[in-house]
Amino acid sequence: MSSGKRRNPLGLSLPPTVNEQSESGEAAAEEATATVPLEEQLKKLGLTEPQTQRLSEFLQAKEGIKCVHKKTGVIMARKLVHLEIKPSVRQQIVKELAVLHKCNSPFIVGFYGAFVDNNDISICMEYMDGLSLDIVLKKVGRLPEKFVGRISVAVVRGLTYLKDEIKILHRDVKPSNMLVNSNGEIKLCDFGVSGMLIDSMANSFVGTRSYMAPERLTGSHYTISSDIWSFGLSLVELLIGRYPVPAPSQAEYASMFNVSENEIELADSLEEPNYHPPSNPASMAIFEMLDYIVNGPPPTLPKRFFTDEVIGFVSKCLRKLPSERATLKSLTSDVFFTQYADNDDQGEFADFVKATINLPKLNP
Amino acid sequence: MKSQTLTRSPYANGNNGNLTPANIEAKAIAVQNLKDVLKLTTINRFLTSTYEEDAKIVERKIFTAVYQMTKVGLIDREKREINAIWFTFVGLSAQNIRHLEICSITDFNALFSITNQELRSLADRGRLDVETKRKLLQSTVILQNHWNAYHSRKVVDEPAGPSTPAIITPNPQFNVPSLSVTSAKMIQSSSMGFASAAPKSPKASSRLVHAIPHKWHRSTKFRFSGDAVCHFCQRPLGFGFLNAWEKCRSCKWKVHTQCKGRVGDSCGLTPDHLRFLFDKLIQENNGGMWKDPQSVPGSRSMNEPAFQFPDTAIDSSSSTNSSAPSTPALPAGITGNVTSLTAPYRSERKFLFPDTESYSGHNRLPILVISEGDHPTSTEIQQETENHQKSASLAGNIESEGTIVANQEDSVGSHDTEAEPAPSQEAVDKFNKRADGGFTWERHAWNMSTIRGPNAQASWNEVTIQLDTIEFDKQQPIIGRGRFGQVLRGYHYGDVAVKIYNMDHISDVSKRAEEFKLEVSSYKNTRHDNIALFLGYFMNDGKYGMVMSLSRGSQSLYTLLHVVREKLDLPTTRKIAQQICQAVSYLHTKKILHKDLRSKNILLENKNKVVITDFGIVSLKRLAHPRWKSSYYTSKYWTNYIAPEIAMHIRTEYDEYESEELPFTEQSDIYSFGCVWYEMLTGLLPYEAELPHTMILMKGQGVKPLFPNIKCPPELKELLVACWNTAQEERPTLSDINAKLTTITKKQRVNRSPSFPVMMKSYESTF
Repeated sequence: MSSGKRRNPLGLSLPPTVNEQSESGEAAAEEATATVPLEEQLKKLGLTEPQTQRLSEFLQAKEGIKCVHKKTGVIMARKLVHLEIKPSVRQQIVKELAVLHKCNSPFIVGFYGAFVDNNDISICMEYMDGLSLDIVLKKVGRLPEKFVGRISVAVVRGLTYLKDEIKILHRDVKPSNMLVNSNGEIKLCDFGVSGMLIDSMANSFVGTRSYMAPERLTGSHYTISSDIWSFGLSLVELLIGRYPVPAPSQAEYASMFNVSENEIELADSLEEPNYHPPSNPASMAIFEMLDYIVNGPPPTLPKRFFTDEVIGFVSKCLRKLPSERATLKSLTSDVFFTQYADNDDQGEFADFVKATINLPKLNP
Repeated sequence: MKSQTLTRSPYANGNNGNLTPANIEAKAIAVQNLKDVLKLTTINRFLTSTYEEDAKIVERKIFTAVYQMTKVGLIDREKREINAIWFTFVGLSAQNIRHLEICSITDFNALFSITNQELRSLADRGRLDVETKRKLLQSTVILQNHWNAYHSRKVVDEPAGPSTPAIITPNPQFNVPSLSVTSAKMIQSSSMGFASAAPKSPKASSRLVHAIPHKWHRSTKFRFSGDAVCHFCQRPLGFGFLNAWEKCRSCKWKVHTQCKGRVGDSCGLTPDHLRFLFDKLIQENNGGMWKDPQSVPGSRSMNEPAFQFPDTAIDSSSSTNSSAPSTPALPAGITGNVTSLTAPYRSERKFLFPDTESYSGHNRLPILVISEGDHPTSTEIQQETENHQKSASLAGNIESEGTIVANQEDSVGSHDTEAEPAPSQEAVDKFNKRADGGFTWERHAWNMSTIRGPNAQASWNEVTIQLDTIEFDKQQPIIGRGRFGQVLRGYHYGDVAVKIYNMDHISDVSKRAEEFKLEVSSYKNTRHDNIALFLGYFMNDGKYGMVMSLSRGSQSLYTLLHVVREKLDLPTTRKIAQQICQAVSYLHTKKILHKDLRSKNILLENKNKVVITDFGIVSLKRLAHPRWKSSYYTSKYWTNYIAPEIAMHIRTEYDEYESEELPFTEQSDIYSFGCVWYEMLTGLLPYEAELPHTMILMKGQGVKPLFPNIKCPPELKELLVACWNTAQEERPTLSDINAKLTTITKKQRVNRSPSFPVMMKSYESTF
């Protein structure tokens, strides 16, 4: 049309949306997720006060307030983050989060939308009923190697997708950011998609555990190798059942696996003269833990209870020097990986997850 | 065998050995009892500060057992044995016990006679690990407190002997607004006691002594004494021939004959003189307190909120006196009233292990009672003690501080609305404990905050504001949100900032009030131009918070530096730094640690006035809440500002009962001050853009923040970097900093070039 007047002769205007910031929730059509119908809603108008049904177990405030979208009745998980920001920053964050809509992978948790309300941002994502692997671990103790294999494949694929398609690094690979559901799917969440968001967070967390690579702890630039280290460390934790720093002693392994001490053969690196076990493993200072990660030997698996393949796989990831560490590509060609790569386990893992949903935690 | 001061015991006559068969048997039984009891408890339950009922019972049993043994009398070997049993129970290894013995801690007496500080260094020398050391220290304190509590209970049971002299000033016009009854009482006993002490005198003894015996004269003539009252008991003397009273020839005091024995050596002790003595005594002892925090009971005193705010222990006692001016409190066994999170005080009382030598008959110590009204009889005192003990629990309804020890209904200036009785007898007897006639100055019960003197502090009631009297801004009430609460703008006779604190970290709602009080009671003691003016507290509707004055247009230093991004020039930086320095130094003098000094907590009312706020709140308990096992939830740049020793102290596990609080000190405040100063000079946060873990690692390794190229005199830079010294002692003190800030900038002025061209010098040399 030519003249401006003509453009809107009847003076029509769209009603303002309640939440201008909210994204359209066209959840991507993800393959193979059956529990939550994904083609629905476009606007999230009613979501500022969703019906929230609290989960019986809170994950962390970062995760999992289970809620239901009023309009469509979809169950989703809502993450609430408190920010302190200026309005201009707010726009940027929402823009950055929009990237999440593009994420469309069987290994990445689905994203419905996000909205900012006052100084809080809510991120709504796919609800994974099996919750996260760290909770599963608390219930089950340790995971058998075959499941860990399946998990590794999923995570490596997820990381590859993030790096290649979305061009971002995860930055926070750890068991609590790996979600599972009763379909046997394993998906990654909580990746660092919005730098602005991270910077605007009003409060910070000083973690009592660190999955960060040694070079990252000493301040270097972040690369994909650091993600690989975190991945390797997470695998070791899943396999032995506890956070692997400081490395368990022979006695500990013995009690974990119910064998006598002399049957445990620690990896060579642990018998180095540099190895100094911490003063009181029960409650280390965070500094001591970090110092151990940076200066101590990398975590390893005891030889007897795990196959050589997984021991090799893990040790490739857990090299102190990032240059020596495996890359995503080399991991995909590793024996351990190929073993589980397209392995159809006949729903074994799915059943396992279903079983764990109702278990209580072992020791908090 | 020598039992305790109260010596009514049948053993009082110097039975020099445990030689009678009855004794031996009794002892064996007692020892066995003790062993049995000790087996029953676990060390954790014993040492947790939340005393559950059954734990208390067990402890009582332990002490009964020990007490029994002391009655029976012990030789050295047996004392050692008990010692060993005790320490094993505490959790020390045999090697540790041997080490302690070598350091001559062979019995409880020795254990109690060394200070906390010495015990710590002893433990370090013996290479006790952190856990064991802590257990040792805590158990010692607990032991002492229980001993004393038990002891005083025993005292009440025993008949009051005739040797409780008291001195009462007769003068009803005697107006000592700053002295209260009991304070005088205490002083007198302390000063008097030393005079009549047996050869051993306590460490903390006062050198002030008033020990002049009266010259009593009983007249045989008829004496008319219709109006006169006895100095001691305030009852009228008889008249005519039926008198039973005596008069001192020098000071003219008249007392009943039966009261005479209790009067003691106070001839010439007028109220004025007493006041003088009292002041001197206070100064001396408090001089000690201010100067040397370590000598104060509980060497971790700075970190225990109950010590930091010296009146909190008193606050916690349950009196509801309103605005009682001079109302010192003697809570019945302070330890019992302090909340679970603080370690009990280590008092300087001695454990009275009876020696095998006989004690000479000692005098019961005199108690000075200056009353303006009725003088309570001993039965009244006893009753009050019982009443108080019943009501001495912290139910969170604590309204005001201070109780009067000997409850004086009509004492000058205090109008008790609901006078709740105080543990007078127990307090009194604290000073009557020692077998050898001396006693120690109960320092932590008496300090500047309990006595309404020149440094009087507001009682709780005076500073309570009702939340509904504050009007909140309708539109945008919230002006800030922090990790621990929010700040609202309000109007209460002027613009105010209302800070509402989140108390969720205390799950037990009934304990929240008391915890809140502990955390914030330091605010009401601050009066300084550069500290945000505190107006009042409120604690209603489950909201806990305080009201501070707000000056419109004030913004935080953080906003100025990082949001507005203004570059501060050197003179302004200096001015701001000096004001911060003065404010923090004031806080330190008041024994308040800031613990969270950072640019967000520094407000600039205008370019020339700095106000600091939000001190004393940070604690591990707060940071560990909500209980996510995998992290602490802190404010955004918390790790940037913490000193290395704090950073190194954060543990991977947090346990409400076991974990020690962060070791904040004055020097850690100085470190944070350095960080703020850095921010002002560079416009960057120290360790900007690093992750919390990286910062912890760096701080632990001694890595200091980088200095970009800025125009700054090298001495200032040096001073700043010195604030970041890993070794606490090497950090400059605030007075050093203040001094240097003044001189360095003065030097700068000298360097200014003259405003006329100077022929002789070249351009370069002028600048």
